[in-house]
Amino acid sequence: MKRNFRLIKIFLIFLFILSSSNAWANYLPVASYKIDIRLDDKEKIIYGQEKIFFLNISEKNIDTLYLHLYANAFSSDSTIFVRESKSLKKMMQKEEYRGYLKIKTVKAFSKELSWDVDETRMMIFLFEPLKPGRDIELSLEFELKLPQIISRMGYDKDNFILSEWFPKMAVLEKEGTWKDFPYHYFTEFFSDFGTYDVSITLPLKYIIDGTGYIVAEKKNPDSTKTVTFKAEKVHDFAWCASPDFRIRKTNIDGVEVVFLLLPGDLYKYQRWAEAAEVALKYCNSHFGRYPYSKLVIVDSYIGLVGMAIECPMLITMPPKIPFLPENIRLDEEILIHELVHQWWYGVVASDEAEEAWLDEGFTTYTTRKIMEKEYGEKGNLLDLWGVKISDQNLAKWVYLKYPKLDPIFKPSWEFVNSTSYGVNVYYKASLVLELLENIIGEEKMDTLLKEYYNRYQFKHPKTDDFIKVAEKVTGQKLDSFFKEWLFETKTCDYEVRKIKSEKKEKIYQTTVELRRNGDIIMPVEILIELENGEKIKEKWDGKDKWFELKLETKAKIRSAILDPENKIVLDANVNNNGLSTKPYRWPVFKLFSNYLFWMESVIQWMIDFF
Amino acid sequence: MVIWSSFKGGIRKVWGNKLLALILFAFKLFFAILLLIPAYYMFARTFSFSPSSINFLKGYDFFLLVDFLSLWSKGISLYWVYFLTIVLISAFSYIFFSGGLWGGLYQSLREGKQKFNGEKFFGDCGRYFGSFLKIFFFIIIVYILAFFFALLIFSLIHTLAGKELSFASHILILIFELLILAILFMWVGMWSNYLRIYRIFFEEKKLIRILKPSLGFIFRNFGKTILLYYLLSVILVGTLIVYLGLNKILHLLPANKFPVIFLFILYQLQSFFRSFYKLVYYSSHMVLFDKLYELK
Repeated sequence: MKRNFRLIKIFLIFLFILSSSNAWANYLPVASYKIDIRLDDKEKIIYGQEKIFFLNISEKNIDTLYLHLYANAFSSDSTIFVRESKSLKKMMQKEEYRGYLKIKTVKAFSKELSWDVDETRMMIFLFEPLKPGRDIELSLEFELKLPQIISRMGYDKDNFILSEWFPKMAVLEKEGTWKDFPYHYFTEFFSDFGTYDVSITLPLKYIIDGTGYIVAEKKNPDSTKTVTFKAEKVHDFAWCASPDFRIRKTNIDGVEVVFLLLPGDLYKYQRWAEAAEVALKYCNSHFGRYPYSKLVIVDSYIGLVGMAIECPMLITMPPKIPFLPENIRLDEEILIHELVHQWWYGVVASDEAEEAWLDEGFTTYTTRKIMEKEYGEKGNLLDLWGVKISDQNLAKWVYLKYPKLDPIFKPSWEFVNSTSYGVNVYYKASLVLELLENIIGEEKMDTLLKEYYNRYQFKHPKTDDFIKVAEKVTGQKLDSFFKEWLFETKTCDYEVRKIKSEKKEKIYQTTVELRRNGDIIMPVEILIELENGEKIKEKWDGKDKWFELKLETKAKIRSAILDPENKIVLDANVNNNGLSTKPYRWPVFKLFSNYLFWMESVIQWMIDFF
Repeated sequence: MVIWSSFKGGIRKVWGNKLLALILFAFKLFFAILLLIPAYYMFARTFSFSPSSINFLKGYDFFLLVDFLSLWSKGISLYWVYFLTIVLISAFSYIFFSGGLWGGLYQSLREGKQKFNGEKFFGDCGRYFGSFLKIFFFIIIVYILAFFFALLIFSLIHTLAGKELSFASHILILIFELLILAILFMWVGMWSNYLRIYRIFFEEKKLIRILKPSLGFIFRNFGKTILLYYLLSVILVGTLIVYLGLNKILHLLPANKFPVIFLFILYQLQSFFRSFYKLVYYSSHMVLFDKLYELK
């Protein structure tokens, strides 16, 4: 069986190396794992045996293998992860928050190999180089001490959640470069696809689920059970266990969705199931079918860095979202976001560490599309007492906080801080995609994303790959568009500075002065409205710093609006996009009237209290 | 019935001293305008000549407001400091002016309808300021204690309700908890009123001497005092429902200047009514106290 598999692999490698582009290669399991572990739930230690089947898909001979030992980020208060967090240092001085991943032995072909560990990076030195197209089977023995949940792995009392927890191969690129970055505070992950065969032995009381399908469950004489999972075409194995989970299941579009809820959150099931349905159906129809037949949604236990996380075939919801009425859609937004990651991260597995925007920006953009489609363009995030806030409003507001500090395209650890990282890879990136959609049209954008998804399923596309697909689908040169928006920190701001009409015999000489305040150049449309109701559309290439549009008109100008359809979603100030000759008294009076009433109400409440 | 007659008596007293309601309304308007001025400047500079501002006739356009908030971010930070300062000044100013309001209502109770006397009004402001200030600080402490007591009750409710609740159960519990908090805060508010009543009726300046008698009065006449308070609150809620209905109707009209003008008028009528009704609260409790104390 193993020999047959080897032959198939060699044939696939042959095809892969011959192919002119990654797009045409078939799926290839590069790093597969067989892991057997036992959980000591009292000591919070996992004892494990692991076999790694690693294939050298590069063009070079490899004499050192690189692995990630992410759990070592929690081994002391002076690791890169902790130092960069600034807030965790004091916490990490306490023993219960610490964890480690200790390697006991490493063998290949029954011989012990030498290795070295530098915090979260492990190097294994081979006896002889691993040639291109050849594979190697490693056997490791390890011990994982779990930290109290800080980030993505650990425990809280009897509740465990683990992702990126085992000794994991770094990605070896075709050119022979290893992506063996250390674990930074706001860096995510990058791994190869493979097959996972994981057996977990743990006390009977635990309800457990994870990536993949449960293929066996066996009770052991020592009041434990061994649960075996199998997963193919995934790049991580995440799992969770708790005696408190309440299980709910539903079938959405042919996918069994398993909800592991905490007792106090059972009431959320209906809402979460509806959000999951909306997201699954949208992504299935717009990009391509979810390639697995199971998805697990975990109601996470409290963590110090409360977050929702995406893992292959499993997502977690953040701990203790408070009870919120249905018109505050925080639950929906988070769940949809994490679920969409199954496409942009799970299947199209870009480098989350160095090109984070490719998964986070795409996911944030797709989440917005789904929220708008399902809950309306305005008020899809919050619709309460006449106040409507959309996901796009949030994205723009966040973007405007740090528009110039960092470009979108940057290794995650090089951002000035975690806020700039979040602003750029999530929000600005999503708005850039929305801007692209506005330029090329919604239909073309759908075609582009579908093409990108189908071409790069189970692969590791880079930014260049996406740009090439975009240019191919649109038939346009888009390198300058992406260069300015992804690789630079320029901003865009167009303004209508002045408008006037001067009478010349029977017609009016109308002048509209436009300014480009930002550095990004975009062609813009202008809508001119005259006092006789006539509307004129004009265009400007947006290149110069200012431009005077001169027209002969039958009536005086009433107003001029730049970008009337609000296509330039990243315009730093939309309030200067329009100008009129006469003031709009009534809208301002309405604002004044409302605000005056609120202020009177504030004083009234103060009086009522005392 | 003594409660209903106290309520009617309260309205009559305030109606006979409408100028006091106008003073309270003017007080609110003054501080609200102080709070509005910088904000209005920012709004007007940004939106007056912007065609997109028409969207505000239909509702709050956050597409525009997001950029507005970003453009004026430094100004808004300063504005918050200004806002909190003005609110604090208004709180202390109200403690001062409330002396004149209570004094005016008390005089009306004792001597019948009187012509407004500015000298007497400000005299009462000064006379009761010290005592009312002490009551103010004392009541803040009581509110905090009431809040923590409410939290204890909530945790008991949650323990009894258990963890496996449906969405509807969560809503019901939330409503129930809000009601408990409202009731507790109402009782604290009521006590603060009776502290002022005792101060004014018995000219007792020392707070410590009126704490027990005022609380004792409430408990001895608990049914009547609380029922009057609830009656006042229920009628207020009723008027709020009417106001919200009118508000909704006006928002359904086509977005032009007439609904904007009507809304402005509605807002100011509502604000004046709240001022008037606040005095009815004070006055009704004074009338009730007067009746029950006489009976005793």
